[in-house]
Amino acid sequence: MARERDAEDLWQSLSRSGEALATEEDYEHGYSREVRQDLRRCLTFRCGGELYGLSIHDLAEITKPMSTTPVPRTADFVVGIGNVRGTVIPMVDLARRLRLVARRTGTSTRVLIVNHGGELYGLVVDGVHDVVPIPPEAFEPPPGALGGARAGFIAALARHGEEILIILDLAVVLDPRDFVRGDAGPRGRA
Amino acid sequence: MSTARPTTEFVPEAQEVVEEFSRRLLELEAGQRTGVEEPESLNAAFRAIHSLKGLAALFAAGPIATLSHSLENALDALRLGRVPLNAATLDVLFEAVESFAALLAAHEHETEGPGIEGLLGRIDALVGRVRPERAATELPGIDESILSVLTEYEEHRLRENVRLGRTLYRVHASFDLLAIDVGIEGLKARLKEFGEVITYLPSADSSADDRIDLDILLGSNAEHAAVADALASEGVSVHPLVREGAVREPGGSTSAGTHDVGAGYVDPERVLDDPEVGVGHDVSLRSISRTVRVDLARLDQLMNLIGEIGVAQATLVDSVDRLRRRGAAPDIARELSGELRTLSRKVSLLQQGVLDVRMVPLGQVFDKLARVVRKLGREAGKEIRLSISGEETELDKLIVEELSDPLMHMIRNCIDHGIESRAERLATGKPPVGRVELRAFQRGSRVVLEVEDDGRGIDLRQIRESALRRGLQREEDLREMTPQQIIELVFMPGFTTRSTPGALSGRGVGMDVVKTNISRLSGIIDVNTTVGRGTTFSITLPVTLAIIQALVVQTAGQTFCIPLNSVLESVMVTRNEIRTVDGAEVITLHGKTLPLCHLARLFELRRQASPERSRIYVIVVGLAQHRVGLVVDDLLGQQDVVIKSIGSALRSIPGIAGATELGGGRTVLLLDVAALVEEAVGREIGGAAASASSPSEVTHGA
Repeated sequence: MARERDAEDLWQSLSRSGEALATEEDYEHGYSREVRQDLRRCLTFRCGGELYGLSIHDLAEITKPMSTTPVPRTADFVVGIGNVRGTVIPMVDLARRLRLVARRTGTSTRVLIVNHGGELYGLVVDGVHDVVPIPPEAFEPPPGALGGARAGFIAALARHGEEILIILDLAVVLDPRDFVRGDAGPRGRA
Repeated sequence: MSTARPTTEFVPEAQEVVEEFSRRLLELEAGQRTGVEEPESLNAAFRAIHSLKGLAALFAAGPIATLSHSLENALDALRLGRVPLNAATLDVLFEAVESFAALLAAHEHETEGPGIEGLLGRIDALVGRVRPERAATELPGIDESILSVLTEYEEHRLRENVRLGRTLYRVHASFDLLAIDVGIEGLKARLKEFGEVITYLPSADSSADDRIDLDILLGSNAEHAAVADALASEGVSVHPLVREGAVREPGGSTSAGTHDVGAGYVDPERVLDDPEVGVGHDVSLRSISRTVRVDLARLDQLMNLIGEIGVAQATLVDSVDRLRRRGAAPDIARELSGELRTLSRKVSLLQQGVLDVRMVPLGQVFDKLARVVRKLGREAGKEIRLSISGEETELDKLIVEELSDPLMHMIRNCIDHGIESRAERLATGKPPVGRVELRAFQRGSRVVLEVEDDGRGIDLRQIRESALRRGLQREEDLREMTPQQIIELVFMPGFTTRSTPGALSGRGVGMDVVKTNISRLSGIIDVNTTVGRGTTFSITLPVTLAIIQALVVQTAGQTFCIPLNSVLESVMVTRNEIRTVDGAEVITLHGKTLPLCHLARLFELRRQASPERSRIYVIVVGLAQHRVGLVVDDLLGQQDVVIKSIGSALRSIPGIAGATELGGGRTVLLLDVAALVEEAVGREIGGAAASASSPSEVTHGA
């Protein structure tokens, strides 16, 4: 298993770094290239016009939008509950959660089923791109100056080529305290 | 073995043994009262403690092993008649049961258990108090060759039987070597009807190689002919050994029976030499128990799978229906629906089967309660007779577990608050002994548990004063409450009528805990009381929680499931039947005012501009002692559903208990009736008087 993954990493890192496979010269003079073992593989996806990254360790699967059942007394970003092969999971509209401009569900809309704290959650995103390996040095802490309402959701930024990936902090995004609507519960007369 | 085995197996197993021990003690105590001593109870208690000792050693549970070792000695002494069995002895033994429970709990949580030195001292004191050597009962007519092979215990029992004036018989039986364990069990059962089996002795005159002959010493009050007739079967013969008369004539050592028996016995040394002969009873290593212990989680898994099969099947039914409507391949469609019907029958049988496995009789809890009554009665200085019925009634294991605490609280309340002191009872012309009755029975798909006492009943004035004193209610609200509402105040947190906390109850925890626990099990609790005559608490519970029957309802275009066990009834009402009382909508049902609560409003569901219907459905739901009418647009039917978790993020949403799948891949929410009713009732507090107001104040609603 490990060997296979290494091989894949080699091909991917080669193709992404623009390096070619061994050349004639290499064969003549011998070659050595380091294959990095510490790359973090991230899924890149779009949400509200921005590019995000999610470690594939957190990802269980990617599905097309499924039917959901709305759940009363929940925050606006909770789409409802969905059913993934018998397991009922909460579905989160990520754009709303991050207070971005929500796009309409389109053909590229996908649901990322993520595993957080032993439970599955569905994140509805505008579209998924790719799985890319990112070296640790490409990660940087979220810039403090970013401010804004979203700052708390961002765990790190990661440079990938020309682009900047926003790596989300799932613990914050999926904080159970935010799921229940603040004013839910006993209230005035119905 | 250097490492102890995991304790997960130990605690439940040990608990079972301790329960068995406690059950036997109760039998012994009952025997004490009636004067019929059953040596088997004492033996069983001894065996239980013996196996507990072994278990505890195996799992390195030090204090439990120490305590059981010491108890084993005491029980052995009791069994041999060296220590008298009386109320004081039983007290110490019952104390040990409590200690075991505490020690086991400590063992499970890996905490320091309670000290047992005091108890150990008391147990050892029992053994130390050896009965002065009685002048040994003369055992005329019993050959020394018999006496020499008897163990001390057997000799004790022999003497006891002689003392009780029983006739001793020698029952000679011959068994096929292969069927000996079955044969002996059968014979033992028959012998028990006549008296006590004192010992089994291998007999010398084996008739064949493939048979084992036994001589059984039986002490009985029955006549020789009666015993002989009853036991007459192949290879069994009965001979009187010592006649009653013979015993009363000391010195008559050469009665006719002696030779008869003496000849029949083998030399004890030969028994030891020849292992083949020695294997009399308990020869088989195969365990008699035909049960397996199963983790409830595994049953839950099975239940979930069955639920999913059910869902798949419902989807299939749907597909076949569509196929038929389309008229394609009608013969195949017909065949399919036939097979589907068979499948659904089998699935529901399978489901029932798994549910049945989860069922345990309530007797387990009742046994514990009997102990509690005994202990509490003693502590409160009140004599109480507990009568139990319906202990064979079965409930889901989980429910039974959850029930023991509430039931204990209720029993405590009966003893502490209900039953009067002896003097008080006599003064009011009641029998001096208080009566507590514990009943269980099945009513439809529910189980009803009742705790009844013949005590002083609940005094409404006292409740009112107490509620006022503790600031739980305002005076003006109290004045307008119905008697039933006042009684229900006992379920409020912090409520107690005691000014000083008693040792038993009266700490202000209790009935509200009972209510919470019962509500969690979707149970309903009712109180009935008559001052001076007694109080009855009745709890109505669903039989199981794993798969529930649900009412499928629709409101504002959304589908929900309501656990049927919290639904009391559902009625259709027209809008003009709705009245408003102080701004709250109510209807009159069975002559009572029922507050209404619109599900769509509670959940703020948006209606798609549908016209207000003239007919609505009211689902009467109950939580503990409250009743609320939940208003929905439509009833879609009733269905068995498997409850699924909606995850920790959504778990705390008030009013929603979980989700479930209906056919066709639809996921719907399951309502948490308890929370909804609580909400509705909580809202009512501001206008507590509202629901109690007289009909004349009722105005016509919208």
